[in-house]
Amino acid sequence: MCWFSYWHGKQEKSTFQLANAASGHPSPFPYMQVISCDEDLCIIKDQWERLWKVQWPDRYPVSPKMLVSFKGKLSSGIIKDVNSFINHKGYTLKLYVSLGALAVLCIFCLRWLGVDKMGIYLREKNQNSA
Amino acid sequence: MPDLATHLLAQTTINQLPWIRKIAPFTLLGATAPDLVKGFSRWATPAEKWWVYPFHSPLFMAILFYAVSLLFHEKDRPYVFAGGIIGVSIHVGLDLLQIHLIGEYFIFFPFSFQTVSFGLFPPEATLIWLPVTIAVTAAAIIIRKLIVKRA
Repeated sequence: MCWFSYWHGKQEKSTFQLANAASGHPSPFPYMQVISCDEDLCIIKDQWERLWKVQWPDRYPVSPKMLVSFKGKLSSGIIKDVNSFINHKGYTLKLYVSLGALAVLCIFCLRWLGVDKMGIYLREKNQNSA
Repeated sequence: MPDLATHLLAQTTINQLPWIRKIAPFTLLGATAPDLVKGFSRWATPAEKWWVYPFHSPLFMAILFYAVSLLFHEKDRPYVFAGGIIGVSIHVGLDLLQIHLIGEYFIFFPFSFQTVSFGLFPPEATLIWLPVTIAVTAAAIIIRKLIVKRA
């Protein structure tokens, strides 16, 4: 199933192809990194490493290195009408919090589970601590 | 996706229900399983990330937990499978509540690549709410212990 999904993903259109295909209609721009921003024009980078110019509205304050998602219309090489804005603040922190939680779970699993020649088993006396 | 700490805390809160106690360790494994490989996909190209997407499919996870349960003693296998499925269901349910501009959760996979999202909170919002989640989980554990003590 993973292999099937991987090959499906190989046919996925890049953000550039999706935006061009939308022809004036709003299209999503997920997980874009802000490179620079001055006045109302921002330069951002998509996951395919392509740089984009965005006519940025004042209501969504951004700064360089921020990770953002939004919807917008591609017109004359510039993304306009930005809306549905998401600021992915804490994107990296979330990874570290998740790794910490996983480490704690691993420690508990070593307490709860045992292994013998018949396979893995649940230690009876420790299951009530879950 | 909400962070794994939120998933584990939500599952731990639910695990305080008496009927789930026997399979509680396996529900925690189920609550983390869909995201276990997702961290690695952060360094992959967008097209290569797709191999981790089936991990949020209930059918895929059911097959996976059936396979994992075979590694356990025969008497534990039904608990591993049931606990895993309950954990995965609650994990996927939480994931569906967050906002997606482009869907990532193919819950009908392999039958369809149709995605579902209820769009209630942004992806990183659970980090801000983590102290509240910890407090709710601690309260649930204390309440259960008080009930057990009184009984």
